[in-house]
Amino acid sequence: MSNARQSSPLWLYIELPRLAVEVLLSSAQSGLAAVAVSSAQPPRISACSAAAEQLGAAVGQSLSSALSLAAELLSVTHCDDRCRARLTALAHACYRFSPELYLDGERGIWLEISASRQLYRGYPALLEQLDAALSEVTASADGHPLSVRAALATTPLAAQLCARQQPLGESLAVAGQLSQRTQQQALETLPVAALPLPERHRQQLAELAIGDYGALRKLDSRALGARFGEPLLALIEQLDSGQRPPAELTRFRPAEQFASDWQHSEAIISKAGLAFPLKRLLLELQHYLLARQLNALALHWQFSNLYNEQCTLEVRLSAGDYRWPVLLRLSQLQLDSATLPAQIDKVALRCDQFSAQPNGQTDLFGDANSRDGDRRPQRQMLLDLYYNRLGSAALRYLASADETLPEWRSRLTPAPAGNRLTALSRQPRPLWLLSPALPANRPPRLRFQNSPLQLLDGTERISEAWWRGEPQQSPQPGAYRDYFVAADTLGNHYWLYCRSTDNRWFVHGLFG
Amino acid sequence: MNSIDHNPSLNKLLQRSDTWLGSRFHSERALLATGHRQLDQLLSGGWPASGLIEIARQQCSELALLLPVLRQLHSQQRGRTATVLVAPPYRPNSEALQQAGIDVDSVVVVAPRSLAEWLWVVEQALRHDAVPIGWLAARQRPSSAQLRKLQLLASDRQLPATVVTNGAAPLAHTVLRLQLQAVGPNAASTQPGLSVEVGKQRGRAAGSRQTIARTTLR
Repeated sequence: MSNARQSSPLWLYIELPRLAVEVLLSSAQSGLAAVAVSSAQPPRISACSAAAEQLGAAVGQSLSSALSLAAELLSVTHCDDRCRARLTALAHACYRFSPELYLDGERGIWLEISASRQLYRGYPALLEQLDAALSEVTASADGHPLSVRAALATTPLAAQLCARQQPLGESLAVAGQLSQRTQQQALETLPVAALPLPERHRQQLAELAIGDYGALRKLDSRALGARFGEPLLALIEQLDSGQRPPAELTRFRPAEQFASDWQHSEAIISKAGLAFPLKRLLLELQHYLLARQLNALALHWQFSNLYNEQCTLEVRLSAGDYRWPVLLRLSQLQLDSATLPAQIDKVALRCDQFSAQPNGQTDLFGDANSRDGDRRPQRQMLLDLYYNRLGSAALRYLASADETLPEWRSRLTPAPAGNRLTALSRQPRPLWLLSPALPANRPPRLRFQNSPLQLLDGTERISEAWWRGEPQQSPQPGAYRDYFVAADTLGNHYWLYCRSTDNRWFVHGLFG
Repeated sequence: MNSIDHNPSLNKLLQRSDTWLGSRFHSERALLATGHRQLDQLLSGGWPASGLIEIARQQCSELALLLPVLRQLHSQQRGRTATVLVAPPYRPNSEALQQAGIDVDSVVVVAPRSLAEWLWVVEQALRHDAVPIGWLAARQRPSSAQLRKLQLLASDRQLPATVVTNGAAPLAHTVLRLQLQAVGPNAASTQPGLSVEVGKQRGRAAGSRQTIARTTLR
């Protein structure tokens, strides 16, 4: 019995009815009775703020009707892209709680959460963390989250219709809907007017004094079918047992690349002002990376304004990370030394290079927001700091490879190349290499920088890699170098060679 | 039990990492063997395991002197420690480092463009449990406050931070200052050597000197 209850589906529907207004305007502006207007002809209201509703504006109303009710209404053009982008960000935040996720146009999200119940040790913990993840993504620059309402039910349609009966708030607030009895009660008290039925059917039901879904379900199905036709029976079936959101919807999958931007009607004029958009976009990226179980290896920032001035930054990570505090710190290092346009209207973030998250790197139970360095290897963090503050030219790694020429056997590389030497030389090698080698006077008056040298050890013959061509660029086949160890009068030891092709001498290294 | 043990204020003061009692200092501080018998004797046991160290040199023997210490630190930390060479004068030879038992994957070379960047690089290395060895150019002179910050950080992180200078003037706030000088064959020895003089050592008198055979540094 208990197992059967655990596996029964539970759908969560999250609706954002004011999304179209809230993605475009700050909460202060929304207070000016804002409405979003669709591009349909005649223009119709697709969303409106609370203040606009109080003045009589309503979704579906024509703009002219709304303006006749309240001339002070502020109308803004509906922006599909912005709504979709914000809803996608929310979907990324939800995805790790359940991969069975559907986007409902630009208004809401369906989520089937029963499969994740065990993982999160029960629904209360799951819903609490989901709520926290959503509030991170929905927060606006002035701290006001998006208006949201949600409901739990055993079928997706019931969850959607029940959510629309909930008051708008700033969080999911569905913890009280966890019992099946409460869910059933919410479904039965659904007003007939809220059911997706033709208007004439609603009127007919009202004439029959059937006010809610509970009263409707008490009627005989065959009689209902005979009177109202197949659509009503199909609706009842969907509400009671249908386990699929509308057939035209497909399950949400995170995109192959992450791209998001932040735009605001008030331009940013200082680097300090960028802190919020950077954090917001990186939080979105964190949820995306968690959903795909990936780490970001490179971030591409673009800061631009309406005058087509722009600045791009590339942040690189040696081993990848997904946590926003780490990514923010590295981004800010680059930002500190960047020259940005005088004003910034748009901040865009793109991420298309990833590495797989090692097993156990992420913690489902809340450490994703821990400050950087907690669990990340210190060395990786250090190298990333150097790279992003000083630039790629300032950071070099030691590498060694099975080459004949010392300068190719031991190199400094811009990326870790590691040790590929299969066998070390039996001869001692100097700790420092001169690059390029510096000319010395040839024997018998062997001198380097006016200091006489005395040969101690030799000869070690090293062939020039004439057979390799580029990049060694050997002068001719058969060329070689004869290496010697020499000392000056103070005992400093040098590594010299004599080039076979022109009999010239060079100091190539310095011993300790 | 002496009067200090009864004084809570003094006890509190003595618990600070930057306060020490001269009489207790030597027995309490952690040391790392230098890999050279004469140098261990000179430094009363070994290299300080933490704090700011200055090596004033005229040639480039300092890295050879530090290799045994780096090897030790690396094995103690089981490979987690990185060594950061900050503005070295020449290109380090990875094969020579390997011959000395250093894992080249643990070594990175950073080339800061200014003194401010140099200080930042050393500071970040310490903050991320890496061992910095930084070379200062002749005209670069960190302020006393900047050196104090590095010294406190190195002590706090229990790591040695080595600064190599040309020896023009001693740096402030170091726990150890060594002056290196190449010594040619002379009446005392037929072999060239490296003279190591203690310019400053916390808790000990300065001025002692030892000469290490150059052959042991190759």
